[in-house]
Amino acid sequence: MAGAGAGTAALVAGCGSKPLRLKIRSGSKVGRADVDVLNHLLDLEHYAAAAYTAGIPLLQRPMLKAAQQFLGQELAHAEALSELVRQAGGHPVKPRSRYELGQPRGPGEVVALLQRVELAQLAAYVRTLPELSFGKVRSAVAAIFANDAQHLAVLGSPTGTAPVSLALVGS
Amino acid sequence: MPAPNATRRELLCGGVLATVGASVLLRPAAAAAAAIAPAPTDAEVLLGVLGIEQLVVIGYRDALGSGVLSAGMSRQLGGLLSQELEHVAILERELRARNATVPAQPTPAVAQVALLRHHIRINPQQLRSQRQWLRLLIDLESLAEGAYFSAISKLQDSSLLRTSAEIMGSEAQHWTALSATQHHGDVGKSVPYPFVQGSP
Repeated sequence: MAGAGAGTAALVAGCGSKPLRLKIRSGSKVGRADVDVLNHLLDLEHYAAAAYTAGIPLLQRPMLKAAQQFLGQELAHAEALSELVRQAGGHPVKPRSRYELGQPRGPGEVVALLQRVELAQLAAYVRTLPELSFGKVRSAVAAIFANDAQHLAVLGSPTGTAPVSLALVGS
Repeated sequence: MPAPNATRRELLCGGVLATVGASVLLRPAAAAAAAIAPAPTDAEVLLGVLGIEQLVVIGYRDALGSGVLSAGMSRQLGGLLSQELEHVAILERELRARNATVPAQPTPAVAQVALLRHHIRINPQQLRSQRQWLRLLIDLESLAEGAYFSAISKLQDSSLLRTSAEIMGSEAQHWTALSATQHHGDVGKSVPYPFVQGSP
């Protein structure tokens, strides 16, 4: 399964996206030194979007609906991180033309892939958060991290509901 | 007009209350005063977050002691409470490491005043159904998310910053779990937004 780079389709705006964009535009004090970290996280968001895009055709309800919802949110994450990179004077990395996603053969293996992708994102966000400039840019990135934590909670449940197993997410 | 059963988050997203950060909401004079105030220490930030976590623990304990929960709901909330208690223990340990005094658990009366200050107008004494308790707990988890969202922009210590993010992730998962229960697994309701910022 080699997913193509995700497009920039219309996103699930959700209530949370507009206030976060306002925060970004109103000055999250994102600096040039943040560009590399933000682009690393952006690269992972592109990867996640590719995994969801490639996996959705193999899923069934209720996980299908969840994956469609989460794809929209991963694209929103990518857009927000891209905006931060531009604000810092950098150039956002683009989705790759090809991603190696293995060969999931059914819904179970697709969900396992998506769980690994979300876990990788969570670990990267936790590891790199202190490397970002002090202030609101950290909160903006944490807001994305917490949404990915929600994705993992839903993906971890066979019925698409959300069991929660850890007091600390991402460690 | 918001629906009578709307949660705080629904009211916030409906535009009844703005969710933009405090620096935008403050009047100019107040904003100027805030701008020149010294930055809080990590201990001061932790104290604020701990205050919220204490309210969350009280909420879960009161729900579990209410006598209106199903066995399955009691098990779910018991698991979430145990994680909230871990969060409290972590915060208390970090405060002691910074030679700060750990505040005692607030009394019910003090907790009720604190809830009102955070615009949660639900009185736990008047809750009579599982659904009503879920709504309160969802609002409390929103409050916790917001506390960590704010704290993360102010914390200096790298290790503490990471731990706070991990706890914020946990609170977001709690919010999702409770919302999924409230809305029968509807992911549109349990993971509605791409960015988790909680409530002020």
